[in-house]
Amino acid sequence: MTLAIRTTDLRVRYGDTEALHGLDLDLPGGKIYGLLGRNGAGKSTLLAALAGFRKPSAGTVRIGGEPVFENLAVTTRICLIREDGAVGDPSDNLGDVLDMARHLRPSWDKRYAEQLMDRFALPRKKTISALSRGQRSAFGVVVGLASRAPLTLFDEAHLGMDAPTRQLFLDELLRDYLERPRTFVISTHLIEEQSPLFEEVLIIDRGRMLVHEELDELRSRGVSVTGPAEEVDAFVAGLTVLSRQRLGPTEQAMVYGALGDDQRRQAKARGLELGPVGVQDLFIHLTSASTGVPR
Amino acid sequence: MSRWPIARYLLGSHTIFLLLLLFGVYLFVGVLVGVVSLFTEIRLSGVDVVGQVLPWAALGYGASTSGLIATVLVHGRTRREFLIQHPVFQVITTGLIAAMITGVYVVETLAYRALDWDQKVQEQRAYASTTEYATIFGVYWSMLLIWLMLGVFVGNALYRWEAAGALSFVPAALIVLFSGGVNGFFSLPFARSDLPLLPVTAVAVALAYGLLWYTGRDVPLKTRVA
Repeated sequence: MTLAIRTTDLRVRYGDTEALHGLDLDLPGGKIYGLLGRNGAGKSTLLAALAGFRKPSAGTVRIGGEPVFENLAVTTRICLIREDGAVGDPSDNLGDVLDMARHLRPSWDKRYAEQLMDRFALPRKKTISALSRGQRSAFGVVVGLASRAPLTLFDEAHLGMDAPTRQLFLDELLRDYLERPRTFVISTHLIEEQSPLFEEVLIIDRGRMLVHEELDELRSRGVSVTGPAEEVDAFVAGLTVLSRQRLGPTEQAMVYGALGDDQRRQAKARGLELGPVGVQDLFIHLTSASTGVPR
Repeated sequence: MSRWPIARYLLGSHTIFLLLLLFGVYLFVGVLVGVVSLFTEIRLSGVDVVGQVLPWAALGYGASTSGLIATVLVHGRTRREFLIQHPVFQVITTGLIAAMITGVYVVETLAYRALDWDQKVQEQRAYASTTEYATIFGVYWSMLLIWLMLGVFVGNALYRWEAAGALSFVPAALIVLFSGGVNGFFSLPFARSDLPLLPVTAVAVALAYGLLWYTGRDVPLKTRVA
């Protein structure tokens, strides 16, 4: 069971500040979407509106074809885990929160929750407030995955996790997604680490959708050029270079924009290697270009 | 998935916890009165003295549940469900607590009689003696329900509007004064009246519920500071 997402002219205002400026989204269900954006771009606001946590100031949000805000038939099929990992009262112990989720969430998988608790080595008797930041995030992930909600949203849910725990989260998400396909939206700043998971990438910038493309399509927007430094410099002269890295006589330059056949032949003749560009480099370039703030 | 999941969950956990907690408090009071009786003559109802604290406990507990609305939303439920099912939990739980307190009064009356102690109650109470069980049950239920609902209202107002939510204390205080003049809890002389308990309670609860509904019907969820 998967859920499609559609927003039309979605606007959310906080007082005088408009966080989302008429966002139009049309995301088919059954995919893993990566939601990228700089701080304050509107990612959390968008996810809150998608989950019915916040009423839009204007426009519509439809999940599975139905409006979401205060619509029980839809909200029970959505799970949003936010960066604060808040899934219960801080004074509740983890076992109580799992028990509450079992009462409230129709699709809750108790057995899977227990398995995940063991995999993430989370103590059931401890209260949420007694957990470390990373453990609290891991517990949020347990609740998010075990909810088995047809639309599951993770908003920086990995905050505070150490590298092995983050890897466990990504592996578990992918494994469960393949076993039980559903729609995931993952908001993150860990672009290089998490982007291999994404099928489509959404880049939001200052409340507007900047990019919505398949991951491979996005990657094809740029090329990495590797080879002797002088040859690389000569080749990329006049092109938009996103970043350069040099190790001894070898240099790698990330170039924005697709190369033509002539350029590819020329690169080969110069002994240069062409490869895919990093999503993070593209992200930095695209969002810096739109805001005028270089990195 | 059962119907009324929020109310069922709360009745199965919070209600039991509150009843056990209160039972423990009265047990402690019983022991304390026994110890005090070794040193001085007992003239007051210990259960009635505890009654002074209960409105504030109900208010505090109510205010502390403000995070609950956020939690149930995280687990896929709606504000509307919460605003219907939580008051049902409040009515049942306060009714059970009022019944338990009435039972404690019965036990205390029997014990005081056996020991030939005076069992005076607070002057402003709506009952003159501890044997008016129906009245005791009624006024405790009235007080607990009104203060609890106002606590939930105030807690939600503070969650929603932060500092400006403190304005919620104004209507809450007015409702407390209005109902307290009848049920005898937080009863100030200028507010006392001979109005009947049931209609006054019904009006006070309706007003408190209206305020709670207004505060919670579309409350946005906030992100806790990590």
